[in-house]
This record gives sequence, C-alpha cells and structure tokens, in this order.
Amino acid sequence: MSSTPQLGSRLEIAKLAQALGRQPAELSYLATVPAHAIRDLRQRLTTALYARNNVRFQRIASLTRMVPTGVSATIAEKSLGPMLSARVAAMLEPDDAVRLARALEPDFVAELAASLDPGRMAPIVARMPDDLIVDVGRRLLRRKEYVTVGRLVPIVAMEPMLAVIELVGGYEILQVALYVDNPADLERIVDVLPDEKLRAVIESAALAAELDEAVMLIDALSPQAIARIIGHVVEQDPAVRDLFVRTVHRLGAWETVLTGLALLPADVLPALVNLPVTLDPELMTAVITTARKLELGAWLMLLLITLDDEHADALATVDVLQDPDMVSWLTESVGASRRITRAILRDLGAAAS
Amino acid sequence: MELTVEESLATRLEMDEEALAPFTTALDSAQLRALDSIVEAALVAEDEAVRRAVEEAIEAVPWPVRSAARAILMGDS
Repeated sequence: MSSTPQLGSRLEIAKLAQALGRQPAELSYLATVPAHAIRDLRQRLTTALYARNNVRFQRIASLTRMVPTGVSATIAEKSLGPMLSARVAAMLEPDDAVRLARALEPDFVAELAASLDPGRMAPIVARMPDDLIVDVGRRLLRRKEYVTVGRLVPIVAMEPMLAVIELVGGYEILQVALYVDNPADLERIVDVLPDEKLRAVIESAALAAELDEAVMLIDALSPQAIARIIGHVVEQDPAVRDLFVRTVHRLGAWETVLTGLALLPADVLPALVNLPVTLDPELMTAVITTARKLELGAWLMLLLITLDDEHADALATVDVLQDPDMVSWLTESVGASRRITRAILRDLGAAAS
Repeated sequence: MELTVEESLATRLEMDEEALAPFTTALDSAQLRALDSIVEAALVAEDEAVRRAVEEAIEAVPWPVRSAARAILMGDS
C-alpha cells in the first residue's frame, strides 16, 4: 500500500521512543526509515539494555529469595523503580515473580509493564492469575498506554484478553491493535472480537479519522478475517462506507481488500459499489485491474451487474473496459453463457469482444 | 582514532554496521548523530539507574541480612 510504510514507521517510532524513554516527536526524523529497520533497532536496543547489566539484574533477582516477599516488593517500589523492576522480573523464577507481582501495588505493576520485554516475560505471564492481568490491562488502557498493551498482547492468554476487551471500546481496541508486532497476534485479536466490538472498532476508526490505520491493519490479516471486517463495514452508514472505499483506493489496498471481499456473498456488493466515490473511473479501473490480477473474473462480473444506473453510466467511461483483451478475459472467466455476458458488458459500454 | 557515527551506533548496539544501512540511507549525518546520542543517553541512564538502585536496595533490606545482601549485590558472595 502506498502510504503504509510511513504509517508503519510512525508506529515503530512510538515503540522505539518508549524503549528509549523519549517522546515520539523527538524521533520524528526517523519517519523515512522503513518500519522493519526501526523494529530491528528497538530489539537490538532491548538486548543491549539487558545484556550490559545482566549480572546485576541476576544478583538483584537472587536477593528476592533471601528476604520476605513484602521486603522485595518494597525494594522494587522504593529502590528499583518500575523500569529496573521490569528488567529484574525477567530474571525471576515464574513462581517468585507471581508472588512478587501480587505483593506490589497494582499501579506500580502497570507502570513496570511498559518496560517489560515480552520475549523474556512469556513464561512468567503464563503463570500470572487472570484477575491480575485483567487489572493491569485495565489500568494501562485507562492511562492510554496503547504501545505497552499492544506489545504485551502476544503473551497474554485468550481468557484475560477477552476480559480486557470486554471493558474497552472500539477506539481503544484499534489503538492497541496498531501496536501489535506480529500479524498472527493481530489475527488472534480479530478472531476473539465479538461482532459488536468489531463494529465499534470500524465506527471509531471512521469517527476518529483513523481509517488509514484500520486499512493498514487489514493488510496484515487473512482473507477470512478481512471478509469478516468488510462484512461489518457494509453495515455502516453510507458516509462511512464511502470513506472506507475512498481510503482503500487512496492507500492502494485493493488487492488486500478484494481477497476478503470475494469471499462474501454477492448481496453485500451493492452497499459498497453504489457509493459517490465509486463513480470515479480511476477507482473502478483499479478495482477491475486488481480483480484481473487476482483472477476474480466471475466475481467482477457479479460486481458489475450490481451497479445502479448512475454507476453503470459512469463505468462506460472506464478505459480499461475498452480493452478487448480485458473483455475477452472477463467473458472467459464467467464461463457459462458467453452471449449473455457479452450482452451485459456491451450494455455497460465495454468494447465488443 | 575517533569512530564514525555508524561505527559508534553499531558498537553501542552490538550490531554489524551493514545492518544500519536503512538508517544511513534515509538519514543525514546530523540525524544519525542525534540518534546515536539518544541511544548513548539511554544506555548511560540505564547504567546509572542500576548503580543507584543497587545502593538503595542494600539500604532497603532489613539490617540482619544487609551484609549478606550487600555481598550478593556487589558480587562478593
């Protein structure tokens, strides 16, 4: 997608800024660096931060075994602070870490979560009680710590994740989803989102003018998940649908969207093809050429016969349908009744084949 | 001999200079220096925070186990 790289870089800058203890604006000059390179730099920074004081963290961790848990909690809160406590937490035995987390002030646990390294914390978080995870998640979201929650999603089990999702609105879910590193984890979130939450995410993306971000997220998902999301876009009011289609076109995301759209029943098509924005011949050209690239000829034909009169008239100005090769491909793709297909295409102003 | 900014950043993060290619391509030398400085500041701040935390942790443990704690934290045990 055309603007995805900059958006991806912006999200990675926010994560790097958190790791460096800076504001994202201080790193704005990294906007032209590819997202994967910024992510790589952050991972190397995390490794370097752990490595240079690894021995000291291990010593502090071993101290927790010689004093009562309450004393360890006091040392963590008063001496170490949230960032170093997070580093030391990764060195603790999972049972010790769970005991300590229980003894800490919940707000302190939420604060230290920002410095946790998901890779090192996975075995520990797996042993944490759900109520503690949900409580910390709730506190983080209340503080708008979307970067932190997004980074920790991969190591949180389904049950507590659902419980946290239950507590928040579409906007918060979208913000968290933006900071999830791995597409597989993003897919997991979409899978567990109840329909009403998914609708709320789409509505909030449109309201908050963050459809660019939403479309960028779609790009990372499977066709099935994309189909489910588009199924909910179709239920939105025309202004939101128009904005969605406009955004997909502007970002050059047709290939992504059509793979999901083609899985949906044909009765959803009128809600997406008869919009003000689809009168644009350039947009229809992009849809038609992408459908050809994806070998979606039969589906494209369904889309074309869904057009209302105004849109059918507009289609007559689309140059790509004057290409005999395109018309011939479309006719062959439909297979059955070439005569009828040709007649329909002629009626739509396409070149004779 | 003074390190180039690329060498400096690569050394701090224990990475190959080649891995910094996306940065050297996209950023000018002033921006690279700014990034190097921010990374250096983060590493120095971390070291200082750890040193201070160790001293405070020793003071925070109950006195009967303080000398044992000191030995563990200072690596004397």
